[in-house]
Amino acid sequence: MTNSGQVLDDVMTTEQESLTQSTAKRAPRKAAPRPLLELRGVSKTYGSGVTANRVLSKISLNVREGEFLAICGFSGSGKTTLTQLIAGLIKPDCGEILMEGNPITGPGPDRGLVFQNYSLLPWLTVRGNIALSVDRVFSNWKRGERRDHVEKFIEMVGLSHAAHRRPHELSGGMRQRTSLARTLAMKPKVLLLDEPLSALDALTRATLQEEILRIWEEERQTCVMITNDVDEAILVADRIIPLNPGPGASLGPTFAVDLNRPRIKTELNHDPDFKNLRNAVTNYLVAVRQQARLKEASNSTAPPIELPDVQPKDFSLPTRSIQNSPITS
Amino acid sequence: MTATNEMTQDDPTTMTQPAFLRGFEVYDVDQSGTAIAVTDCAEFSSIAQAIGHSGQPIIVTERDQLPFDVSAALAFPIYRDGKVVSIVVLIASSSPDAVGVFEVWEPVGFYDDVKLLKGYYSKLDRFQNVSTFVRFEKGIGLPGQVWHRHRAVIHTDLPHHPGFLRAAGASAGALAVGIGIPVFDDDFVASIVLLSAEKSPMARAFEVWLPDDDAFKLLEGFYANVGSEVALAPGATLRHGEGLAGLAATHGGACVSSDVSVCLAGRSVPAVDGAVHSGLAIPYFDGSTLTSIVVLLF
Amino acid sequence: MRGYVEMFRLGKTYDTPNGPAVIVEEFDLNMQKGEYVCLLGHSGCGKSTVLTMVAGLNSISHGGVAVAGKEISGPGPDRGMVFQSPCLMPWMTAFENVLLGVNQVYPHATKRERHDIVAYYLTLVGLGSSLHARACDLSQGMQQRVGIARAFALKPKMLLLDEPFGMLDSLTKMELQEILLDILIRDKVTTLMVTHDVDEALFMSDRIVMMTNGPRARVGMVLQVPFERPRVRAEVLEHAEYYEYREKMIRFLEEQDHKKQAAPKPTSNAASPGLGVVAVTASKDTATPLAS
Repeated sequence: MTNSGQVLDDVMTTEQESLTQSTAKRAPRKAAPRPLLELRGVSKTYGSGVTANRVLSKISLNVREGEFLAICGFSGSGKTTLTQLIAGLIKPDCGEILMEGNPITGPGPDRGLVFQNYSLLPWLTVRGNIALSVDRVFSNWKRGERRDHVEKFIEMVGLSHAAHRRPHELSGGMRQRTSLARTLAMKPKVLLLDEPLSALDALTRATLQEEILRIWEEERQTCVMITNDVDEAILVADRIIPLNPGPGASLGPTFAVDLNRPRIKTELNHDPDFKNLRNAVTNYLVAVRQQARLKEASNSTAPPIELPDVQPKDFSLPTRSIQNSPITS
Repeated sequence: MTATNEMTQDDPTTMTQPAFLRGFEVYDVDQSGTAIAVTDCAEFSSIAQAIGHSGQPIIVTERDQLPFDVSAALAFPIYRDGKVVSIVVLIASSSPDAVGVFEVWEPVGFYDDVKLLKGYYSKLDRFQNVSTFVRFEKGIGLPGQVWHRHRAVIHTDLPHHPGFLRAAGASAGALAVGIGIPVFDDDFVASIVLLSAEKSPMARAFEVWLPDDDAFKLLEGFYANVGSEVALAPGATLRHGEGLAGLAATHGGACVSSDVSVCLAGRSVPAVDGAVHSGLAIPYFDGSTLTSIVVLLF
Repeated sequence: MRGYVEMFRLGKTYDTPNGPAVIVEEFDLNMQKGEYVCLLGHSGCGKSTVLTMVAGLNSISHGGVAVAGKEISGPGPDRGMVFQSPCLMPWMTAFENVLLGVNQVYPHATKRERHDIVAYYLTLVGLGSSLHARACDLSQGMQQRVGIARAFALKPKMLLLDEPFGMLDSLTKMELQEILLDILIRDKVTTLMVTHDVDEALFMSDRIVMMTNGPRARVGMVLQVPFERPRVRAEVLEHAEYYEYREKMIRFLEEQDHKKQAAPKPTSNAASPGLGVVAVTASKDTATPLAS
C-alpha cells in the first residue's frame, strides 16, 4: 500500500511539473537526434611531398535520417573523393566518418552507391543484376521472398517490361534505372547518388529526376546526391551544400530548400522563392569559383603577355592583287 | 539599479562618425519586468517594455513604426539567472550611405539549426537574399558558434574569414567585422548578429572581453576609426572593475558611459584619442556566470 | 538597314527519294557589327543548318549570306567556328593546337609575334599554366577553352558557335560563358551562337532568334535582350525581367513541342536524312578547320 501511494505521489509531482512547464514561455529544446551519417573534420590528400594534392580539407557534414541532401560542386573539386570516402572505398587522412555513431571501416550494404557509369554485369539481365545483389545481402531470406523483393524494385523503376534484357539492349536511362533499382533493393540506410544523371541527355535526365523524387517520396530513403546542376539540386533536395572548388575543397553554407513537395519543374519557374534560391546558390558558386581563380592567378609568376599588333592576312586579297598588279622582275 | 550607470551630459548617441547607428538606448529592467531608460534617449521605450515581458529580441523595420531618419531598430534582452535585466536598442540611420546589418537568428527544427528570424540589411539586397535561405548548424558560422560557445564571438577581417560562409556572391565585401551575441533564457533563444561595414562602421571600436580569473582578457578587438594608441592587442587585460567591462560586470547588466577614462581604460595613456567619447558594454551571462562582454566605443 | 552579316531568304533543301525535304526556308536575319545573336530551338529544328551554311560548311540551297558586304562562298578564317567538341589534335599540346591555325593566318608575322598571340589567348581563357599540356590530357572543359582560344586567335570577323558548351557540366558551362563574354569585351566580334539552353541565350546575347520546329524552320520569335554590358551573372539573374523573358522562351519551346507532336509523321522522317548529311559535312570540315 505504502509503495503504491508513493508511486502515486511521484506521478502527481511529474504531472504538476509538466503543467508548470507548459505555462512557461517555451518547452525546452529536446536534444537533437544523432545524424545518420557524420563526417568530422575529414581531409584527404593524394600523393606526397611537392606533388601532394590536397583534395578535401576539413569537411564536416551531418546527414540526417530521411533527408534528401544535395552536394553541389564543380568538376574536379573532389566530389568523387567525397563519395568514395563515405562509401568506405578510401580512407581519410584525418578526421572520422561515422554511420549511426560507429566509425565506418570499409564498404557496406548500409551505404548504397549509384555512379554515373552503371557498372552492371553485362552477361546478366536486368533481373539477374538486381537479384545478384539481393541474394548476397539477404542470403538469410527465403528464395520466394528474395524473388518478390527483386520484382518489387524492378517495378518501382518501371522496368517490368525489360526485366529479361541485358545491359547492351538497354538505353542509358534504362541502365541507370537498373543500377538504381539494384542499389535500392539492398535497402541501404543511405543512398549515395554520385552524379547519377550527368551522362544522360536532358530529356532522360528530367524523367529520371522525377523517378528518383517519386521513389524518395514513397520510401523516405535518406539520400545524398552529388551534382553540378543547381536546378537539379533545388528540384530534389531538402538542403543544398555547395562544395567549394579545390585544391583543398571545403563545404559552403547550407541552403535550405523549403519549396513544397511534390515539386514540378514547370511550376517552380513561377515561384519567387525558387527564383531567389536559384540566384542565391548560383551567385555563391560563381563567386567562390572566381575567388579560386583569382587566387590561382595571383600565385602565378608568369609575366603578362602583350598581344602583338598584327592583323590576319586577308585571304580574299591575294587573288585580286595578282590579277591587277603589273608583273615586275 | 540605474545608479551604477554613468549618466551623461552630452548625448552619447549623437555622432558625426560613424554614420550607421543614429543612436542606441539602454534600459534596466526591474523585477516586475518594467524597463527603465538609462540613456537620455528613450524613443523606443514601448519596444523595450514589450521585450521586458516577452524576453524575445526583435528588429523593427516597418516605416510607420519608426522616426523618419531611422530605417531599423534592433532591440534585444540581456538575461541573468534566466531573467531579463537589461535591454539594448541599436538604431540604424536611414542615410543612404549607412551600410550595415542587424540579424536575429532563432533555432528551428529537430536538429540544432538556426535560421534567420528577421534581419535589416540596409542596401545589401543580395546578402539579404542569401541569408534568408541559409541555415547554420550549432557550432557553424557566427550565429551557430554563439550558440555552441555560450558567449559572444567576433569575426574580424570578415571578407576573408573562413567562418563567414555566406558572404561569397553576396556583395558583402563592404562588411568588415561581425559580432555575435547569444540570448539564452533557460534555453537558447537567439543569436544577435551585428555586421559592420568598412565605410560606415557601427562603432569606432569593437571588442570582446572574456572574464579571466579576477580580470578581463581581450579576446579580440576591431578598430575602425581610432588612433593606434586606442587599439589593444588580443590578450590585453583589464583589472577587476576596470573599464566598461568592469562596469558591466559590477552592474550585472548592459552599461553606457561617456567617461572617456572609463571607456579607454587599459590604454597606457588614457583619453589620448579625442574622437572616442562614449561606450556601450553588453555582457552575456550564462545562467548567472558572466562569460563575455561586448564593448563598443563611439 | 543593311547589316554587317546578312542572311537573305536563306534556305536549305535536300533531295530525297520522296521528293525535296525543306529543312530551313525563308530565313532572314541581319546582324550589326559586334552583335551577339543566339539561335534557339529544339534539337533538329534546323538551327545548326543555318549556322553551318553561314560557316560555309554546308551548301546554300536558296538565298545567300554576306559578311562585311561580301557574299560568302565556302569556309574561311574570317569566320571562326567553335563546335560542341573542340576537335583538337590529341597528340599536340594546347599551344601547338592554337599555333597550327595562327601560323596559317599570320604568315606575315614574326615567329615571336605568332607565339605571343597563342600564349595571349590561351592565358585569357585560363590555360596560362597548361600551355604545354597535351590536348588528350586535358579535361573536356579545358579542351573547349583551347577551342575558344583558337577561334579568337585568328581574329575572325565573325564567330560561329555551335552549342559550344553543350557537353559541359552546368558549372563549367557558366565559367566558360563568362570567359567568352570577357574576351568579347576586348575583341568585339560579331557572334552567332546556336543553343537550346534558355539561360545561356539570355546571359550571352543581344538578340535571341527563336526558330520554329523543322521541317520548313523559320524565324518564329525574336527577343531583344535588355541587360546592360558588361554583364555580371548575379545582376542579370536579378534583373526584373529575367524570369519573364525566361518564361516567354520556355513557353515558345513548349508550344513548338506540342506542334511537333501534332505534326504528321512522314515529314519528320524526311528531315532526318538531311540532318545526317549536315553532321557529316560538319565533322569532316572540323578535322581541318583551317582549310580555306
